[in-house]
Amino acid sequence: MTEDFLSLRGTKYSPPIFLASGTAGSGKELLGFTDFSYVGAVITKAVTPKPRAGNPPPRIAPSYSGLVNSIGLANPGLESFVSEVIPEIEDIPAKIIVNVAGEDVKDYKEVIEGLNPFDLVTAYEINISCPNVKKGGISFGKDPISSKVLIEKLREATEKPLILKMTPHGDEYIQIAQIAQDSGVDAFSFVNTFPAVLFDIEKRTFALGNKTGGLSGPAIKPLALHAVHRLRSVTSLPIIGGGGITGYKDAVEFFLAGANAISLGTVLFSDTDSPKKIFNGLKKYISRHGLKSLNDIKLKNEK
Amino acid sequence: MLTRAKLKSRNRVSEKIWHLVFELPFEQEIYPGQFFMIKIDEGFEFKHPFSVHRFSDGVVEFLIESRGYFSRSLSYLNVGGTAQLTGPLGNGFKAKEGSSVLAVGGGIGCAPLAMFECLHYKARYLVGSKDEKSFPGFDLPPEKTLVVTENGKYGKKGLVTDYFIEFIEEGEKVFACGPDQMIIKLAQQCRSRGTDAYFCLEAYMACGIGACAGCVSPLLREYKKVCSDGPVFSIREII
Repeated sequence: MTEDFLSLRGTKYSPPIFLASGTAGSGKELLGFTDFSYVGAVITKAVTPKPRAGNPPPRIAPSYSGLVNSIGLANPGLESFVSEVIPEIEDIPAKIIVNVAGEDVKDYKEVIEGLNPFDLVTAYEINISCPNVKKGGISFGKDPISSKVLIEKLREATEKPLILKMTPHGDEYIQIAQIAQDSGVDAFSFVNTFPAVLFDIEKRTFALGNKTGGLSGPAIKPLALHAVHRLRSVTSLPIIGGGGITGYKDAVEFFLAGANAISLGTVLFSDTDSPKKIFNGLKKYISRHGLKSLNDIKLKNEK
Repeated sequence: MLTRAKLKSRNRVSEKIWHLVFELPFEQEIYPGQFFMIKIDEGFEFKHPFSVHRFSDGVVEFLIESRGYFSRSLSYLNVGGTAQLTGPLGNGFKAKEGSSVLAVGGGIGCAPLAMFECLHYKARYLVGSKDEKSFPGFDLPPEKTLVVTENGKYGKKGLVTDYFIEFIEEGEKVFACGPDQMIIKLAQQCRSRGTDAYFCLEAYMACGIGACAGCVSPLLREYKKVCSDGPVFSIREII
């Protein structure tokens, strides 16, 4: 059987299974719980230039087959990430991709330039899709022009792979993907959470401190598959697809939708060792179907 | 540690509260306030945090209040059936040798108090609940325990905070676990008499291991993670 990997600018991520930003901390939290030999890369929580306390509690609330969250990009900031987090994750047996967020182009650029010297940071996931902050984040993800400027500036700032994390909400991702492809991104990470609200009926308030949040988990899988399939129709770049994957069967569906790699997020809250189980399930699926690699998982008879 | 553990026994303590004993062999010490993330289903299911009620050779015990879908399912788990346990997690309360503790519990917040008996700490107990149906503190030594219920049908009538000042003795540290309003009031009372106190906080958790940052508490001055920075916090960190 051939080795399965996703290659971005010469960096091989093997297997093509990524841990989605926000659900895996910086990676160190999962030590002892997750077998990293089945993880192509850990995508860290967002890093912003200055520390961010994050949104007021409650930050998470469960729903049927899903979770609504509004963490608000809580992170210790670039300086602490470099001085405290990087030394802690040096020995993690998986590649690291840093999720980068900010309020404006300067913020994103500052984080990338600050992390460029560190070889353990193999790529950047550009977060233009966080639904839970007022400035930056999703405001880029909803505006093709400003995201074009952002990507062009970041392309100048680094030789490392740039992965664009987009929101599936609305139609803008189609246009942004086309622009981003021509502006120098190397791959898409898709989908981020869907905008969502829950209420506390006893208190008669919003369930979350930030009022609105983003829905993840199995509840969004069909929506995410639809979005990934649409994205595939407008781009030839690699797609790291995900949204509600809980087992290998879900993962197969993302490959059928056009993804070249998968990302696991909310499933880690159920099973920290899901990468291993999903990888093994995929291997069996491939051999059962007489395929050589994950990239051979393609739709039949698609016109 | 992540283990599929077998349910050894299950007893109804009161109308809403169940006592579950899991077979779980391990060597390490567990401290008051430490918890396990528990799920039942082999497939996708969120884990939920439950603080350790007692532990001894080869078993870990929990008190489960039947509140929602998951806690109800757990309270109906058949003896001999299994659940997946991840833990022990969190910091836990580590008392200095020789120090004496007044452990205060409200409602299902009484669950971790019996740990002081397991560890043979020098402790007394002040426990309360809404009524006798939701009272979880039956296995604390009666000679060292003051019981309070809001309706007065069991023990004294009122709230634990109504009896705290007269019950606490000089030199005792406080360990408390219970509803938000109890924590806030107790923190005020402890501050006013200069008592060193530690509070075991509750929060809905997704990961339980510090990865998601979802479990910050409105009772803390800073947005710390209840699961991995706590769940036990010093009075200095409480609002």
